[in-house]
Amino acid sequence: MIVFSKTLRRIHMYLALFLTPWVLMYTASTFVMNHRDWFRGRPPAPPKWETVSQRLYDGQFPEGATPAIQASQILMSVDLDGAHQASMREGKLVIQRQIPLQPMRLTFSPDSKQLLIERQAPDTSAFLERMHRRRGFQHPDALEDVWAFSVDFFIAAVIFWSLSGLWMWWELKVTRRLGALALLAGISLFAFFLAVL
Amino acid sequence: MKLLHLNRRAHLYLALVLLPWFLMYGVSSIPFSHNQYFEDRDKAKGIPLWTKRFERTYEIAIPEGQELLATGGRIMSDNGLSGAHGTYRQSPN
Repeated sequence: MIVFSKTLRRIHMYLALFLTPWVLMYTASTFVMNHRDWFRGRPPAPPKWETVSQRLYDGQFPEGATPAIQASQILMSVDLDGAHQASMREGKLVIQRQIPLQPMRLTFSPDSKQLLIERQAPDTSAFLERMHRRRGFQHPDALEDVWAFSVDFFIAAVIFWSLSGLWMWWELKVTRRLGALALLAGISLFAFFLAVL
Repeated sequence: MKLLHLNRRAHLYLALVLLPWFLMYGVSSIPFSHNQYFEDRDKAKGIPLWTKRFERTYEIAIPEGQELLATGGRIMSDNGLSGAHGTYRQSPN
């Protein structure tokens, strides 16, 4: 039992040290999202875009190519391949390339063959929100799956910290009474919110 | 030594008080991380994303601009609804 307890304590601690960047990022981003009016104004100001380049794109698309296929082809041709979303807006193909620090927007006008490439101006609060929301295995890129896996790993760690923390508390006999009170107070407050919100 | 002891105790009791929040955020992150799986599962079970409560004729002038919260509140109260809400203008795209 002593070996088990010691191992559990060590995993609890080293896991927290390893995941410190994730904990800090989710903490800071949650704070920004909880106080969005402070950070982004009300209503939130639209993102600012800086022009990177404007060029002629004369690549040929396969017949019947969907916006998604056209977007992939354009991104590859300008060395910006990666996680993105594509949609048609007022006859133009708009590609949102999801780069964590500074996302890029590519707007292709089929009539004039003009390709406008823009980069989002640096914005710390927007960056934190993007990182907070970035998850899921919906993108075909392997790197995106690795990030999504790290999010799953973090979720598993949160659940593990909860359960191992309970175990570690129960082992400290001197804290059982006050700890039970703290736990009961937390559960009661949470239940109260559930009932009245 | 005393500071270390206080720090350890604060860590323990704070974690116990906030355990419901910690678990709720941990578990609720699973559907966010695997949204496609849960959406497909609900679809297969025939669980709709929204359930219609009512549809009726109603008229109100929507102001220009993005400050729509008060209008949203008015629409809710006019239709017998109340509580926390958000309002936004649907993008044309």
